[in-house]
Amino acid sequence: MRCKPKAPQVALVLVVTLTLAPLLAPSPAGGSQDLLARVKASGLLRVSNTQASPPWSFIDEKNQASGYDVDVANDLARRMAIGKVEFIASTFQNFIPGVQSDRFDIVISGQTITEERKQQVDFSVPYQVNGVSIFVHSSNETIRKQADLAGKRIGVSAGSTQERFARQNIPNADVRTYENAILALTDLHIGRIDAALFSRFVGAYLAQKNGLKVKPAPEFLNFEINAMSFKKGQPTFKADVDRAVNAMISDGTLTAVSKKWLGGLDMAEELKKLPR
Amino acid sequence: MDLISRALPLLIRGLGITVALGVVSFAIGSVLGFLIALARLSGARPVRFAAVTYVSVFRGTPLLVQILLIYFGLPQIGIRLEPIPSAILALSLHAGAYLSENFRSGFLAVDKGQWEAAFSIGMAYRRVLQRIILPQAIRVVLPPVGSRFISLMKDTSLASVVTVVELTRVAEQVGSATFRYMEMFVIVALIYWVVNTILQIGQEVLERRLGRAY
Repeated sequence: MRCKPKAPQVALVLVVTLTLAPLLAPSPAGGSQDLLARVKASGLLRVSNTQASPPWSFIDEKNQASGYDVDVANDLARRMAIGKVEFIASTFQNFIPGVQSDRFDIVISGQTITEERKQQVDFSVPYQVNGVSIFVHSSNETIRKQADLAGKRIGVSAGSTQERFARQNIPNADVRTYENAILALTDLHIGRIDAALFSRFVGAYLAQKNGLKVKPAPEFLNFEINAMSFKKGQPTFKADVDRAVNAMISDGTLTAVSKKWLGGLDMAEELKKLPR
Repeated sequence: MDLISRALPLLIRGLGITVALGVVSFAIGSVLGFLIALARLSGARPVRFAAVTYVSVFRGTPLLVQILLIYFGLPQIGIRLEPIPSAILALSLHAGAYLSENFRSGFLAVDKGQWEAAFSIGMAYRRVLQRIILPQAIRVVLPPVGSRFISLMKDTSLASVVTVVELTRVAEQVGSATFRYMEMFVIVALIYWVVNTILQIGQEVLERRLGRAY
């Protein structure tokens, strides 16, 4: 009655398969299919964002994706003559694998340009400059600048540049990672973490709209230059996206979108100040 | 591979947390499950009802929802738990519900006549349980309980959504820092598999020892 699975044989097969698999995996860089052609032929642009970082991207009362990044995405598709946009929610941790494995075509979610990321995906020209702040509980008076963060419990989005920043630059930090900004700032409000590193706009929006008792430290932590990302090795796609973004900056569209969502800040002006 | 040397200290810590979560939650869940199983067989109606409700709720809702509810939901009514206690609470309650069903089936497997015979010679309830019922029930109960332990060890990966840095979170973290996702997830899957194989062997040994005929 006893059928013993032959453990050594099973183990051998598994180990061999699992060891060979990464070697046989297709390389992430470069796509054989022309992304621009495919997207134009299908008439559908699949855009990914977090949908949990208001005012950049979030779900509004009508259960629609809404925000600065959403408006930019819709405008981009219009300029590229692509009829339909589908928004796919994802996280900073999954943006790059998602683009590489064709889960979506482009990420428009305030993703920061970094050298490491550039080796995995291609970026458009910048469409967003973002000031990152240290958020603390409204009652906190001790944490005011980066030096005060040493040894503290710091909340960040998993896979974000802030996570990397915290791990590399803050001594003895207890870095806690969350799926998105809303969960992290909620935990800050609850008091389970001492500080959270997020876009100033996101924290300010949540403090106002959701009544979270959080406030930003007076000075910005740093500024990030964010762009859209997509699969590597697609020069025609990149050229079309860049053309559209540059047009948005120069003809006043980005100004209008940013005035709508960012309370007076003109993103186009900020972008023009960047060294070219 | 330099990936392994970079990841190794993190993997060891993550493994420690995973195993700790699994073992502690299983221990608490077993005690809970045992008590609930007894409650289900009890004579008092409200006791039985409470037990049935508990099992229904914690078997009928997803573990992920339970973890999120305990971590992010409870603070809204003033109960604030740190990440690891939250995870242990959710895992224990969840395991307890399933284990209580396993224990209950173990009790039911022992013929009612055994209870009657023991009572008829004047044995006290606790004695009956200890000397007569449990030794017989345990052989029935061991395979599903062993499975539940193995499941629990894998379920600990859900603690990653409430910031606990266990094995799966380490894989995500190193994977996204180095972009070597496939390697990291394969390595971590292998580690889970090794841990569970050890549990499986333990179960086989226990089964053989307790299965000795009498």
